Amino acid sequence: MAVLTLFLGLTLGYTTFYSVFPTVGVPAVGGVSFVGALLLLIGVAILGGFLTQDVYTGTVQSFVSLAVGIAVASLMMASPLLTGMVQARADDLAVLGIQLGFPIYLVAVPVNLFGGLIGLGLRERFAPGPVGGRAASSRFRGP
Amino acid sequence: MGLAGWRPTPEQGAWTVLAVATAVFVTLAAASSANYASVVVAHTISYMVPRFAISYDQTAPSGALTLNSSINASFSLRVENPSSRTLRFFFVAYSAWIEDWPARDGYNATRRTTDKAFVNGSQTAYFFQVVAESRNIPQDPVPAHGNATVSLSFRLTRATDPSRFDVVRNITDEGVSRNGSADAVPWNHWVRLDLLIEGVPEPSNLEAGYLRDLRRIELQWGLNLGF
Repeated sequence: MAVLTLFLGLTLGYTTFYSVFPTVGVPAVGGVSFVGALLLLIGVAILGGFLTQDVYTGTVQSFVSLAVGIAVASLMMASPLLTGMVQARADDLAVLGIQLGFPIYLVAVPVNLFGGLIGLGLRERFAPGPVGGRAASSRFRGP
Repeated sequence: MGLAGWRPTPEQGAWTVLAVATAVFVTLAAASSANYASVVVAHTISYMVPRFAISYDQTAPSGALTLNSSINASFSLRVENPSSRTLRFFFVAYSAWIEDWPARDGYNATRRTTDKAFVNGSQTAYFFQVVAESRNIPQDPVPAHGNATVSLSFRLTRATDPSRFDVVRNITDEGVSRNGSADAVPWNHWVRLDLLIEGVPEPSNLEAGYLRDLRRIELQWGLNLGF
C-alpha cells in the first residue's frame, strides 16, 4: 500500500506543480489544461487501482496520497530555498502552493477513488485473484 | 528458462508500468524543481549598475542655453547576471527630472502646481520632468555568469518640444546665474529595466500574472517621482 500511496502522491505533487508553474516545469510549456491534468491523474489512479488489494485499501491510499501530494508539491515550490540564495519563509511558499494548487487537490481524492474503482474492476476482469498472490483482505469484498 | 519464454501476467505488466512511471515522474519532478529554483535565483541575484549623464550642447559662452542648444540625457545600464540562466534585454522605462530652483525660490511659483514636490524634512524640492520614455529594446543576451550593457540617449531641443525646452532653459539660467554653470542644477534619474529569462515560455493564460512575473525580471534604480 505504501508504494502505491507514494506513487499516487508523487504524481499528484508533480501534476500540481506543473499545473501551477507550467512555464518553469519540465518540459516547459505556456500552459497546462485542467482537463489534461485530470486525465493524467485518472490514468494513474486506474493503474493504482489495478494494483490495489481492495476498496478499503484504495480509499485509504486516496486520502493519504493527498497529503503526500501536497508535501511533494510544497517541497518542489520551496526548492529555491535549498539553493541558499533565496530568502523566503518556507511556510509562506507552502501556503501559496496549496492556494494555487487547490483546484487539483479538490478533485484528487474523488479522482483517485473513481479511478481506483475502475482499476479494481479491470483487474477483476483481466487478472482476477489477490494482488501479488497474497490473500487479499476480505473487507468490502464479496464472499 | 530464458527471458524469451517469459510472458508477464497483467499484474506484473502493471507493476512494470508503475516502476517506469515512477522513475519518469521522479526525474521530471527533480528537473522541474531545479529549473524553477534557477529561475527564482536569477530573479534574486541579478542586478544592474546604471550610469547617467546630462550634457548641454551649443551653449552660450556663459554656459547658458541658447535657442539652438540641445539637452542630452543618456545612460548605460550594466546588468550583472551571476545566475546560471541567460537573460535577455526586453524593455526600458526612463524618467529624468531637473530640480526647479526658480519654482522653489518663488521666481516661477506657478510651476509648483505641475512640478513634482519632494519633501525632505523641513525642505521641499520641486522637480520638473524633462524625459519620460519607455520602449522595447533589442533582445540582446546577458550571458549566464556574465554581464552586458545597454545604452540609450534622449535629446531635447526647442524644435522637438519648445515648452519643455523653455522650462529647462529657465531653470538652467538660474543655475548659471547662481553657480556659473548649468551643470550645477541637480537632476533626478529613475530607470526600470525588464529582462526576460531565456527558456521560460510566454504563459498562454493571460490571467496568470504570476507566470508573467516569473518570466520577467524587473530591475529599478532611483527615485520615481511620478508622471
